[in-house]
Order: sequence, then C-alpha cells, then structure tokens
Amino acid sequence: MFEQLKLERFKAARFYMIYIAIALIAAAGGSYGYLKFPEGLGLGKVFADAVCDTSLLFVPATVTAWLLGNDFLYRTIHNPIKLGSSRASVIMAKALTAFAVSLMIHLTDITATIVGYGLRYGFDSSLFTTGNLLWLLVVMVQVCAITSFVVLIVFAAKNALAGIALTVVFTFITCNILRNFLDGKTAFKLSCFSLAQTNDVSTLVLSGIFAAITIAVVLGLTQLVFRKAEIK
Amino acid sequence: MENIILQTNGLSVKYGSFTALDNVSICLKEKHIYGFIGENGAGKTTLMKVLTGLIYPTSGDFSLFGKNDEKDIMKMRRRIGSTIEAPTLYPNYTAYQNLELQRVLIGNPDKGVCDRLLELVGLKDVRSKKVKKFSMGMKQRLGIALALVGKPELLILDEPINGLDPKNISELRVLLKRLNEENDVTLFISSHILNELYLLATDYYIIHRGRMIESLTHDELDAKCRQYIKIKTAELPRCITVIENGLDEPEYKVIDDETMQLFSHTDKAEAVAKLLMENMIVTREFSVTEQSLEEYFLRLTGGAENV
Repeated sequence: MFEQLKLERFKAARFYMIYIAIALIAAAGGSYGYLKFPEGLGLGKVFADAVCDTSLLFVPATVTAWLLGNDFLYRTIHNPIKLGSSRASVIMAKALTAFAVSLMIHLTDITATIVGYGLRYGFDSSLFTTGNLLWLLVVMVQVCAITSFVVLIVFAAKNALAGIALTVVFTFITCNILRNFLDGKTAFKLSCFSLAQTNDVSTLVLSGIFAAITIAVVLGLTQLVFRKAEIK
Repeated sequence: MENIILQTNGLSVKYGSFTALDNVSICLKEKHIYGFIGENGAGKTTLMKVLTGLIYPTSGDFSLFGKNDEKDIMKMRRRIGSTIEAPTLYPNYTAYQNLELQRVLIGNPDKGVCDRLLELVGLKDVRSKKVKKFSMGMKQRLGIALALVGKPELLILDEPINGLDPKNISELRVLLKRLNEENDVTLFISSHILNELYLLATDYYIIHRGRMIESLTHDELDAKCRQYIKIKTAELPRCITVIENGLDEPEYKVIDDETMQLFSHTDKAEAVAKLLMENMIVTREFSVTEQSLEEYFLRLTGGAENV
C-alpha cells in the first residue's frame, strides 16, 4: 500500500492537467474574489461564500477521473495486481491520491478568492476563527465524498474516456443542477453535493458524519464492483 | 526431484454461455521453459490472466510455489514477472522512469537494477526517451525488463516476440535462455511463432478451444513429429497411383495439386525414388523432411486457420 501511494504520488506530480486546473481555478477564484464582493465585507464573509461553492467542483472531479482513468487507458492498472497487491489496496491508494488532488484544487479556489478580495480591499483577521476551521475541515471531508463517487465511476467504467465523460455529467448534475430543485431539503443540505452552507456546529457535525459515511459506502461499492472484475 | 512451482486443477473461465477455459490442468516445474501454443482465442491469454490475478476463474483452483490459499497466492505473485497481451507501460514517462516505478512498486531496494536491465535488453542508450516514441519492438523489450525488475522465479510472457525483428528475436531467445540457465528462471511463453518457440522450449502445452489437448516434452515432440517424404510433381494423380500400386500400405497426404507427403516408407526413400523413376514420373522436389512444431500443431488441431 505504501509503495502504491509512492507510485500514485509520482504520477500525480507529473500529471500536467493538475497544474493547468490549479492555474485556471486560481485565476477564476482570484477574479471572483476581486470583482464580486463589496468593500467592507471582511475576509470571514468571503471565506463563507467560497468554502461552500460547488460550482467549480467539476474541475477537480474531471482532473481526478482523468488521472485515475489513465491507468485503465495504458493498462498499467495491471502492474500492482500482477505483483499481488489486493484490489482493495489499489482502490485505496488511488482514492487517497484523488482526495489529495481534489482538496488541493478546491483549497486553491478558496485561497484565490480570499486573496483576490484581500488584494482589492485589504486583508483582515475575521477569517481566522475556530468555527471557520471546523467548517473548512467538514467541507474537505465532503469534497472527498464527492471524489469517492469519481473513484467509483472510473473503476466501474474501467475506461478513461468513459470515466471522464460520466464524471463530468455526474458532477454537473449533482453539484450544479440538483441544488435548483432540492435546495432547502434537509437531506440535500446535509449531503456532500451541497457543501456545508453555515458554520453552525450541529450542521457541520451532521454533514461531516454524513460525508464520512458516504465515503465508506461509495468506496465499499467500488470494492464490490472491482473485487472480481476482469481487468482488460 | 524437481519442484513444482505452479499447478492448476480444472481451471475454467466462462463468460455467459462461452467457455474460454475448460477444465485446464497444467503443472510447471522449476527451471523448465514451457511453450504455450494455441490458436487465437484458444484461451492462452485467459489462462495467463488467471495466473496473474487479472481474472478470477469460474471454477477450479491452482497453487503457486506450493501455496493455494488466495492470500498466499497473492504474496507469491511477487515472485512472478509477466507481460500479458502487450507491455503495460506509461507512455509519457521515460524507459528509466517506467522501470523505476516498477522498482518502487515492488519495493526492490536495489536502485541500480533499472540501469542494469536497460543494458540487458539493449535500451540503455534510450533510457531517457519517452516510451510513446518507442517502436513496438522497443516496447516489447522494455516490457520484458519491467517483468524482470523483481528478479522473478517464474516469467509468464504472452507473445513476447510480437513486433520484434529477426535480430531482436534472436537476442531475446539468447536472453531468455540465459535467464533460465544462469538464474534458474522458469519460463511460460505463448507465441504464434512456433518455430522460434521450438528453439527455446523444453516442454509444450497445446490448448485448443479452451481445452488443454496435449502436453509433451521437447523429446516427445521430436519423437512425434513424424518424418515424411515430400514429393512435388506435375503428374500428381499418376504419382499417387504408382505409389498406391507399388508400395505396401502407403500412408500419404495430398497437400495441393502438385505436392504430397508420404509418411510411410521414409526409411526406404531410395526405393520410392527408384519406383517413381521406373514409372517415368519427373519430380520437381523429392526430400525427406521432418514435421515442424507448427505442422504438428496444425495436425493436432486440424487446420491452418487462425494460426
């Protein structure tokens, strides 16, 4: 497992799409922070707006689908399995890498928005509260939960292109379209597809638990799908 | 006594109503070189995929290095090197990076192994070249180097000479023989180039439509590959009549309009030649030949289609 993680880190570090995505997200987030918010709002409010924004989550989802799918495209998914690694460890190593990539891109979005605002109106300390830290942590778990669906899609599709296409459709529907119909519904509010909207502790705890359960269930499903599957 | 390193018991793989492998049992002994022969779709790759964990069998089981528990088999797979169908390489990484990644994955602490393997397969000069710029033959050689990173005791190679030119084929044969003789590596190789396999293998398994139909040693193959007299003449119908009337119980096969193979009387080739001359039959070719492995395989499986 440790060896596989080293391998995944090597591949992620050389996957240029991650850098392109980070640059694009940084530009978009920075412009948004610079142009969207009025003066005197404070960095705390800007953070509150940026941390739960799901509109660009299709970007990290697509990039991770691409990164994971490449192993099916090049058939390099064979390598750890032929060496006797369990399929569960293959899934886990890839899931952890995907989580790291998604979090990096989402954190870039939040940071760029804050920096964009700060550059125009100045920086303040309203951002640094325990509540915001907990909020950020819960959102990170929720982003991992969304990413776990990407892992499931790629392992079920066992094909890079199909995995990317399905991921784009899935994230657009769940993170961008669904909120137009389900906004306000408790189940949707607590789900990972609506990143925690407030730093109310009870909401955050429930959202965090819900996201952790989602990760466990979705990765369990991935294992079920991939456990005995033929690898082309 | 020779150690058995791999033994399968009634392995079957089914896809719906299609049976890709039907009750296949093989036994690989240490230090042997096994040639694995079959038509396209006969089940060669399927068996290799089962052995390397890429497919689960529908029924049957196998033991690897004496272990038959699934968890133990997974551990034992570290002792196998393999290329199945085509080398599994990262096209955007260099030859060296591909080997280095495999070394990291295996957990081999010997950092010099990648360069030594690149030298072994003749790719040292292109160690920093991206694999996507490699020819098929170079990829095959790198794939074999990849299989060797973990210093395997069993090497499973699926069509390793595909895409190689004659020089590379000969070099690969020498390399595989060296691995077998000097490092005691057991080899299980499938190939369509049967005459090349004949130069390498010590044992053969022949699979046909998912069933293992023959297993034999190199010596047994030589004994079974029958000698025959090849006769090529423009007057083949008359030649056949002469042979049928002039020889006791001749056993022959007509190949085409001008060619026949006479399997009997091979030890009396001069008498056969004299018989044809006495009957004024002019031959374009008259030679005593042995069946090749390819011909033997075709005879066994009943045709030249799909080979």
